[in-house]
Amino acid sequence: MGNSAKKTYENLLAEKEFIILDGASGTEFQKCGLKPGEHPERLNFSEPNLVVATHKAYLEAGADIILSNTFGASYNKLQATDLEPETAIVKGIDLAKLAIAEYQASKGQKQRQLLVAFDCGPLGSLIEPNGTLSYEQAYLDFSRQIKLADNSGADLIMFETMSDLYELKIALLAAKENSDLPIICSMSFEEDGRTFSGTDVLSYVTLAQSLEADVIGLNCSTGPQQLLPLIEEILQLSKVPVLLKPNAGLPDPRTGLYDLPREEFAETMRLAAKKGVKFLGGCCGTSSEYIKALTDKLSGVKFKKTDPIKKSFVSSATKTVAIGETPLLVGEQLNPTGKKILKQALQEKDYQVYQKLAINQEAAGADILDINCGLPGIDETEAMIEVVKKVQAVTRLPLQIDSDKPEVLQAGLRFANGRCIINSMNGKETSLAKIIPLAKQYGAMVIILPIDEQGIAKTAEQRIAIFKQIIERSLKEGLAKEDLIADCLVLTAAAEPAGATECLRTIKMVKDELGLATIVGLSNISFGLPARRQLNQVFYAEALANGLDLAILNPEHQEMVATRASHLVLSGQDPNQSNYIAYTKQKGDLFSVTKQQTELQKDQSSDDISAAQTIEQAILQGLEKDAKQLATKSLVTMEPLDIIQNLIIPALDEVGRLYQTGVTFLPQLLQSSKAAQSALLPIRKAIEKEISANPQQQMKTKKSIVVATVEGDIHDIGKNIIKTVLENYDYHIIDLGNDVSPEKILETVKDEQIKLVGLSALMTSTLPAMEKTIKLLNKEQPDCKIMVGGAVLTAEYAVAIGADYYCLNAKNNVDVAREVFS
Amino acid sequence: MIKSEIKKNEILKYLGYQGQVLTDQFQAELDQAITGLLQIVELKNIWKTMQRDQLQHVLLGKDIISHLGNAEQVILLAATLGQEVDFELRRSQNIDMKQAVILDATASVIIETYLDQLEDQLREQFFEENLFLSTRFSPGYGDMPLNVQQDFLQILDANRKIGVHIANQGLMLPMKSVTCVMGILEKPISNIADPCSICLFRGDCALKRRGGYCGKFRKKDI
Repeated sequence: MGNSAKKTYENLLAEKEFIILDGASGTEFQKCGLKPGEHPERLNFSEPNLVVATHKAYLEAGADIILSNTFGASYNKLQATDLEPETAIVKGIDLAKLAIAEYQASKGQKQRQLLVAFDCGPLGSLIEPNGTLSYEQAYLDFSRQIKLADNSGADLIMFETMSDLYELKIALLAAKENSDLPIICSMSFEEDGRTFSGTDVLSYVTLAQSLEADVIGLNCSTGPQQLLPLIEEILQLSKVPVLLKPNAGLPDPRTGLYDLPREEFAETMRLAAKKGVKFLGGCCGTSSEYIKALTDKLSGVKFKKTDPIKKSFVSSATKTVAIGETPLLVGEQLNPTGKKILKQALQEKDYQVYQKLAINQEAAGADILDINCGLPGIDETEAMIEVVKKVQAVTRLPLQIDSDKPEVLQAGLRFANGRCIINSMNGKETSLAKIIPLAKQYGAMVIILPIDEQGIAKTAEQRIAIFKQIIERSLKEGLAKEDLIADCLVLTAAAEPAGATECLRTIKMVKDELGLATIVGLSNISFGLPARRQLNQVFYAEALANGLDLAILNPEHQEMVATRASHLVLSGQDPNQSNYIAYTKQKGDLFSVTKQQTELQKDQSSDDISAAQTIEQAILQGLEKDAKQLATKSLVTMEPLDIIQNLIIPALDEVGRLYQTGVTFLPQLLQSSKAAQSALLPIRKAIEKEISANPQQQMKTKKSIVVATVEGDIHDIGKNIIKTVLENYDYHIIDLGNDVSPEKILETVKDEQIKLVGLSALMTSTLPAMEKTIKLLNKEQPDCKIMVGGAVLTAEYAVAIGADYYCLNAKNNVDVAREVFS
Repeated sequence: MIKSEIKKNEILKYLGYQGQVLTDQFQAELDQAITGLLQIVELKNIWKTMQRDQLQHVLLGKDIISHLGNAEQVILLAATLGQEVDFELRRSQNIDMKQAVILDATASVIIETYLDQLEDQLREQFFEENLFLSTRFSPGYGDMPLNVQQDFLQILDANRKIGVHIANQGLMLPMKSVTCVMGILEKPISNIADPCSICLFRGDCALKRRGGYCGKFRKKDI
C-alpha cells in the first residue's frame, strides 16, 4: 500500500508546479444544516451524498488532494457518541474515493492525478501534564486511526490544526510506526507566532523535520495575510515542501460568516506561492469558489525553490537552541551519580526532586538538561519515562537523554517533547548497531565518544580517527553530519596529566577537520583535587578558546556562566557587549567586594540576627534566613531531634492556632512554613551526618503519609498545601501527584505499609473517584486511615463516602496525623 | 489588560483575607504576582449569538430560565488565560507554595476581570442597537449542571478557536477558563435575582457570615 502511494505522491510533486488542496468542509456542511457542535463525521452515514458533492465541488475547482471527512474521527472524540473510528474512517475515505471516481467518470477521461488524504485532527483533549489524556492513550488512538486509513486506501496522511507539539510528535510517531504513507503535517498558529500551547515556528519545524514529515505547514486560525510572516519563517527552515491552508479571514460572531472575500484570499495565497509555498488550500470559511479563485490565480506562476538554512537545533515544546553556534550549558545535576538525594528519589519513585533540580538548573542559566536515571536495582526505563514527563512539566529546556542502556534511551526519546540529544554512542559495533537506528527513528542528535573495541583513544589523532569511522557509518545509515556532536573526552587531570591538553587539541581538531559540534563533561577534569571549581572554570575558559560548543556542568556555579558571558565578549561574539551587560545586570559581579561581604555576614555571622531572637519567633514571623541561622546556632548546644520536637513543632503549632482562629490567613501560614523549611535544612543535614557516622544506630523510622489528588482531577494546589505543612512536622510524604487511580494509591499503601492517606478533590465531578478510592482502600487495607479535603467537600459528605477524617483547612491534617500516629 | 484594573482586594478575598495586617513584603509579592501573570496571560475569547430555542438541550435548570427572562436570543461566551498560566502555576507549586497560592488567586481574579470587561464591551455593542444584556451565567451556577460546559465549548468550537478543552470529568483546560451565557433583551432586565438566593453555598457562606458577599453566583467548583 505505502510504497505505491509514495510513488504516486512523488509523481504528483514532480509533475505539478503547485499542489492544490481543498477548502473547508465543516463550514460548508453547516451551510447545509449541520448544527454547531454536531460531529461532521455523522454525515458520512446520514448524508453521504452531501459529503461526496462537497468533495466533487473541490475537485471541480482544481483540488489535487481532497481531505476525507474524518477530522474528528478519533476514538477520544467519538467515544461519547454512537459513532466509532472503525466505521467513520473507512466510510469517510470511501466517500472521498467515490467522489474522485465519479468526477473522473463525469469528465470521460482520466484527469490529473487526484489523491485522498486521510484527514486527522487533534484528539480534542489535552495530553498530560497540561491535561489528563495519557501519552499512551493518545498514541493508541492515533495508531488505530492510521491503520484504518492505511487499510482503506488513503494516499496520504494529513495531521492538521494541531496546536500541541507533544500531540503532533505522538501522531507522527504513530504514523511512521504504522504506515509508509507520506505525511503532511500542519499546525495552527496564532498571529503572535505561537500555538495555544506556546510552540513557536522554529520548535515546530525542528520537531516535524526531525521526524521526517513530508510536508510542513500551517492551517486554520486566521486569514492568509496574518500567516504570511510565519510561513516565510517556515520557508527559511524547512527542507521539505511547505503548506498553507488558512481561513477566509475571521468569523462574525453574530452571523458566523467569514469576512475575507475570495479574490483577496486568492491574491494573498498567490503571494505565498511566489515565496515558495508548494501546497495551497483553504480552511474554515473557504468554499469551492475560493479554491477555484486560487487555482486561477496560480496559473502561470512558477514555483520558487527555497534555500533553507543548514543548522542543527534541539528543542522542547517551546524553546529551541542552535547547536554549534553560541556555546551552550548542559545542566548536569539531574544525575544520581554521587547524589544521595536523587538515589533516594529514584528508589522511592518520588520524582519531584528531579523537578526542583530542573527548575534550579534552568533558573541558573542551563540551555539544555541532561537526564540520567541510572541506579542499580531500579527499573531505569520506567524511571526515565516518569522523570522526562515530570521535568518537562516544569521547565522549558530541551533534553539530553543520558543512559548506557539503549532501551532507556528509547524511552526517554519517545516521551520527551521536541528534539533531543542522545548521550551517548561510541565506536564499538554493539553501540553503533543499537544507537544509530534510535537516532534515526526519533530524529535525535547524538553525542559520539572516541572509544572503540580497543578502549578509550588517548591522543587527539586517535580520537579523530575513531570519530571519522563513526561519521562514515552514521552517514551510511541515514544520519547527517549535523546530527552528530563529538565528545572530546575530559580525563581527570589528577590521573592523566596530559589529558587536558589532549582534550583541548581534540576540540580544535574536530572543529577544524571534521566540522562537528563539540561537547565535554567538564567537571571530570578536577576529580580528586581540592578547590575543584577554580580548576573547572579555567579549563572551561581554555576549552571555549579552542572552540568548545557544549559543556556539561553545573550552571548553578555562577563562575561558569560568567566565563561564558566573558568569552563571548572576548571572542567578538557579543559585538556591542549587550549580552554581557544584560548578564551582569541580572547576576551581578562575581568579584564585587560588597556583595561577598554581605553574603558572608548573612551566612556566617550569628551575632547579626536582625529581627528574630528565637527559632519560634523566626517561624512565626516567617523569616527564612533568621530561622536557618538560629537553627544552625542551636545545633551547637542541642540534639537535632530535640530542636524539631522542642522548638520547631511548638512554633508550628502556634502558627496553626493563629491561622485557625483567623489571626493570620493562608499566605501567612505558608510563609511560616517556608521559614520552618529553612530551619529544617541544617537540622536534616545534621541528622544525616549522624546516620552515616553510626550506620548501625537505627534511626526511628519516619511516619509516612501518602497524598494524592484523585483520578480525573488535576487540581494540585490543595494537596500541595497540606504536603508543605505536614513535611514541616517531619512526616515523610509520598506524593503521588494528581489524577491518580485508586489502584495506584492502593499499591503504594500496600508496598509502603502506609497508615494514613490524604485525598484531595476540587470538583463535584471527581467526588465519585474519591469515593471509589476510599471504598477500595477500606476493602483491601482496612487499617489504613483516610483523610479527605477539597473545596467541594463537606464534613457530612466525607462521612457518607467512608472517609475517616474530614479536613477543612491546612492545619486539620496535622491534627489528624497526630491522632493516627499517636 | 493593565495592572491597575486588577483589584487587590478581590485577590485577598480568594486568599481568605479577613483584615489581617499586611506586610510591605506581602504587598510587593502581590504586585509581583499581578505583573508577572499579566506578562504571560494570553487572553482569548470566542462568542456567538444563538437562538435560545436552539439551545434547550444546553440551558438546563430552573435558574437559567428565570435569569434569561424573555430573551429569545442569547450570547454564548468562552474565555481563557491560556496554557502558559497553568505552566507557571505548576512550576511555582514545586518551589514555593506561598507564591503558588498567591498566583492562583491572582489568576482567578484576572479571568474574572477579563470576563467583566468582555461583558461590558458586549453590553455597549448591543446597546447601540437598543438591546440589553442580562448578566452572565455560567454552568455550575445555581442548578445549571456543570457538564453542559462541554456543549458550550463544542458549539463555540472553542477547542479550535481559543484552545479551551474539556477533560473527562468536565474540567476545563487551561484551568483558568470560563464559559457563560447572557440573554439578549429588548428591555433592561429588572428582576435579577439576588445572587445569594440561588447560590449553592447559600447555607454556609464564610463571606456572608463575616458580613460580606462575593457579588457573584458561587460556582460549585473553584
